[in-house]
Amino acid sequence: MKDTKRTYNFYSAWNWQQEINDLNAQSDAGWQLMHGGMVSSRFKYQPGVCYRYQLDYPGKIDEMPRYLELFRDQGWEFVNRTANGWYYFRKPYDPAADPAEYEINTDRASLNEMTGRWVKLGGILAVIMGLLLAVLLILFVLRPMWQELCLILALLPTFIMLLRGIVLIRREDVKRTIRHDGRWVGICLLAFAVFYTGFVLLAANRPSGQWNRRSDYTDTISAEAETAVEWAQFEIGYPDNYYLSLDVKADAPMTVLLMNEKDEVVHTFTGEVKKEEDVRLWLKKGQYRLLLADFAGGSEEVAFTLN
Amino acid sequence: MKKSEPMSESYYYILLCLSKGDNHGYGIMQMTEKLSDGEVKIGSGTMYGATGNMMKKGWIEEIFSRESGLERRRLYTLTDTGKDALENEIGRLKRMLAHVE
Repeated sequence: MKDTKRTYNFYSAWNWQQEINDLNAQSDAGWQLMHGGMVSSRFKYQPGVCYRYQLDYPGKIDEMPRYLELFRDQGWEFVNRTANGWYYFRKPYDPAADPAEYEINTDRASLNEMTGRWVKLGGILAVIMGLLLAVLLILFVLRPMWQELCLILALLPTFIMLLRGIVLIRREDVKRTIRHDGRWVGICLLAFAVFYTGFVLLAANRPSGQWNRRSDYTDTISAEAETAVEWAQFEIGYPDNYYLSLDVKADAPMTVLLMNEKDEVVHTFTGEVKKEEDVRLWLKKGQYRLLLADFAGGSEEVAFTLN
Repeated sequence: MKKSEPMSESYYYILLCLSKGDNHGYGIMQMTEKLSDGEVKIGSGTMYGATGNMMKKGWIEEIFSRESGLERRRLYTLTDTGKDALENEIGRLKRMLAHVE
């Protein structure tokens, strides 16, 4: 049997009491903490001893020696500190001792101070996420696209989880175990990872660009699509709303056609001097072509932008 | 009469212990338990936060022990401002209890 093991459990800040309970249960079973973390912890099998654990979130420590000395004096052994500022302590367990011996924040004021530090951090994150979500929602209403929806779906569960965490950690009965919460937090973070990956993939595969042309025609170009002059083509990787802008300056009225790979006209722009911006079109996956048609001849200058 | 905010039990006992002489963190924790007949226990996290806040308020100061072999031992001492804060709290508690039968 291996005498070390690693466990994987997600503990949110407001689940710190659950984490303490789990560490105590591991110690009762002979597994003593070597290194604690919010996702993964390492244990060593030492059945001859038993500890009680505590977690502290002291914020910025001005005087580390003073901090550790106060814990050491009361019999606490410092185990480790996580990158996000949680400190793990343990003390040999005596079942006959007063349970208060195994508490580190012994009044409501100091418990509030500890949770308040996390609430401050969580609050800043929640405000940033809330503002970002508001901007994304406005953008989505104005210019709906899958990639924005993915970002909203990535952020929204985490944002709600964060707000819920801020409410829970400030509750009077915060020390009561919140069962199964870690699973939901894990699901929120998984949703974030999945939808954020979706956003990155959609953004990377979304065609965008600008096509410009300028020429002089002595002959006319007929109005028939079959004889139209092709001047640009692009590929659409996935169906979505796309935003087209066109700037035409020509000596005579002309038509710009957007055709799909089945040679169906998807959209038509007509005019002599015409400027259209952010025309929303639902384009399916496939090849698209831009063509000029129905032009009496002369000088023409066309700029086409796809977003 | 100066109006003061009520103190938490931990703050009160830390100042009360220091009014009896300079002491180190663990000494204060033990003395608090003794003075309160085991009613009040100050944990290490509470002690660190409380002493840090009281040092910022200027109620207590940190000094180092002069005892041989304990030169690096951190002690806390009550300042005049701390004495005033403790006296105010004791006065407030006395006034609260004055009309109790």
